Amino acid sequence: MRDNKVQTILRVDLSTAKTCLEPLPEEWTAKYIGCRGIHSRLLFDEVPPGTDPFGPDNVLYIGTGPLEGTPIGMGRLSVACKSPRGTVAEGSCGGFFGPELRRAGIDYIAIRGKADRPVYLWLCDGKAEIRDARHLWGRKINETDALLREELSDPDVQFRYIGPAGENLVHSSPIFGNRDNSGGRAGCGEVMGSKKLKAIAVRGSGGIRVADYEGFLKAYQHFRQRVDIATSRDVWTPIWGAYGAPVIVRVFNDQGGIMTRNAQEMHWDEEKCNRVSAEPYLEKYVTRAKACFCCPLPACKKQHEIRSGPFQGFRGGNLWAAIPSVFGPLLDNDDLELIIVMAGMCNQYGLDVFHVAYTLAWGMECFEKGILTRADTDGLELRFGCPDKAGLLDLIRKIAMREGFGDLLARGCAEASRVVGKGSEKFALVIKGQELEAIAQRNSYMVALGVAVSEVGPDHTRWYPPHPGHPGLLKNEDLARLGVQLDLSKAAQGRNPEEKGKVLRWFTISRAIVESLPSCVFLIRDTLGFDLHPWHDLFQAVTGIQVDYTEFIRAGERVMNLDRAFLVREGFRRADDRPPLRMATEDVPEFGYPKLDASIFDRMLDDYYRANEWSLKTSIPRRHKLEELGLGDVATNLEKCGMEVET
Amino acid sequence: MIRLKLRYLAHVSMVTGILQEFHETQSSSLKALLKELDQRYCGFQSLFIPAESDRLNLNAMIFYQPLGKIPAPFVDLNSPLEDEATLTFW
Repeated sequence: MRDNKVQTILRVDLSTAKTCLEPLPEEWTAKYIGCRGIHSRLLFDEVPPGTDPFGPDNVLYIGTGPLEGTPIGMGRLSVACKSPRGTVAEGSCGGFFGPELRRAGIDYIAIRGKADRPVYLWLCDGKAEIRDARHLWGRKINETDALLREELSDPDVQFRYIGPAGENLVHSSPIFGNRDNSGGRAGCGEVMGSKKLKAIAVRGSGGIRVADYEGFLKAYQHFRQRVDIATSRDVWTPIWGAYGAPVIVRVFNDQGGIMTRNAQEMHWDEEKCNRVSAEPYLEKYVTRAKACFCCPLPACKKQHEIRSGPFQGFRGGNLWAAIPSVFGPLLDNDDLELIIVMAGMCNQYGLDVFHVAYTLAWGMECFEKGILTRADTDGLELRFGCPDKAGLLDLIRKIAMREGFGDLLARGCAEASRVVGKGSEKFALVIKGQELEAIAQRNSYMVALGVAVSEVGPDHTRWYPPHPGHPGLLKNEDLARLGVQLDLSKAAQGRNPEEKGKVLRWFTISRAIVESLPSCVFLIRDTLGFDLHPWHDLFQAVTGIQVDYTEFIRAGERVMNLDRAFLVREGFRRADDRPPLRMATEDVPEFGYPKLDASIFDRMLDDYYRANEWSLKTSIPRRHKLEELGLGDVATNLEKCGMEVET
Repeated sequence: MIRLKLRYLAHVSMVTGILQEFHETQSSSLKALLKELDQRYCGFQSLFIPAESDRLNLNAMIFYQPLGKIPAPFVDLNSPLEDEATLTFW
């Protein structure tokens, strides 16, 4: 039975085939909590500036945190490394791997080096073995899962693996688990592929000890009241609880916030939108609900099957929130079955759905404007509305296998537009080389600021939820008592730049805490995003470590500052914290949203940097702030790297 | 008499049985409209406001879009409804 004060790390060197399990410093649990927080510290310390992302010195971290294995952990797992674009690559995902890893006596895996042939890592109760994976290389995710399950003859083994896309270093490929769960879309799968590591399998027989069971039970009951449909005071709880996250396509559309035809428009035909939303999905295709470990709100991972028509028999799952939005209106595609199959193919080949959707949308706009022709697209009529369904599905396969026109798209929007030129750069909806997600920016300034400043590229989970909640939920004086100085009514106004810097800072810090415990940010419902006392109580009850509330909040600030320090050390500056060109230069014809004016954006950016005490000029964290957080060594490291760190 | 477009999302469509409809009404405010819709769809009103209250439930949202204007959340249940407006209930 494990306690949760001291966390362990398994170090794996694939070049020498050596492994070693060691403890992390005990004080790190209070200082960085775990999971994403520990990864931020390790990444800054162990991956020096200028490291080749595909070289042996880049380290791939996979790990969880002290609350995992208890019901609050939700199976969350963080994967992190230096992204092939130079940013932090960190993402979290659910499933069952995290709890199993902890039961095996391991909290983190740090993988460096490169194997000389495809391998997989077998972990069982603290022991590690590097095994031959030549028979798995080239296999799709579902095939790999089935082969490994047969080979290890244990239905409870948990896996993380990459598909052909990760092996072929396709842009933005994530790491998968449970067939259709993915995380680390900023390229963690690419880095795993560069190390010739096909999979990790884990089995553990240990247990997790909660230090204060009564305290945990009380805090957990409080948490459940905030997320249960009957008691939650949150507009998203009933809608997600009953129908699942894909319903957001209609919610966003009705607010004029759905990116349509590569975000040239912000509102989609309502009949088309009705056809791809959660209501018909649930009625016609869902076969059963499936949740992550202990999740009380199984919104994301329903299993589905197409029962008739050209795709009859196609099965899959996890049509999570953004998929109908990016494979639907973004491509002007109202065929829900095609959406299900496109998402399923991305899962099977190990592709990032956002990369694929935005790159296809970029290609369609280029094609319709005559920048690309059939001579460029291997004969495919690459148009909005997806008239050639079979051709489009084959193009997804070609992207994963880097064949023909697929090889251009496999490089991602930013690189593909650089190769093609002719003004196509304006159609590439990217920030820091990474494609956007489903949430629109011109109608919501907090979203615009949030995706622009994220250290991993666009990722709304860094500051989820994207809408600050019901204005009547908390009064400003309630917030002030919680240490949050802001006017929530102004923060909740989509196109009012006031308070956006402050509310985004708070959300980023608090989400860093939740992802470090870990728990799932999608369960930040009701007041759980502002009042972190329930999370604080859970942390203390599980670990037995007593820290005051202010210090608990500081842990989130440390994580956020470490991520920023890594980013600026790699050369990113204020100029990189910008929305895509389209959002800054084009008005939306319908619903009347104007472009996001540069002066408005700069004002919000100033407010955000000022609230964080970062340099307004460069975005580099200031020394006194880093020292206040106990990160003086980080300031010194940045100075040694020749950076101007303001006092 | 005004004509409204009403859209029902997710769990709300479980009460109405339809995703959207056009509705002609003499109700001049959202509060009156909710009462009217409750007579057609039993339990509709309680999804959005507690009995004898002028405040929207904290787990409910209604977006209001006057014709040709940007949609926004309803905050005042007594504010007037305009002809050809769209209301989204969730």
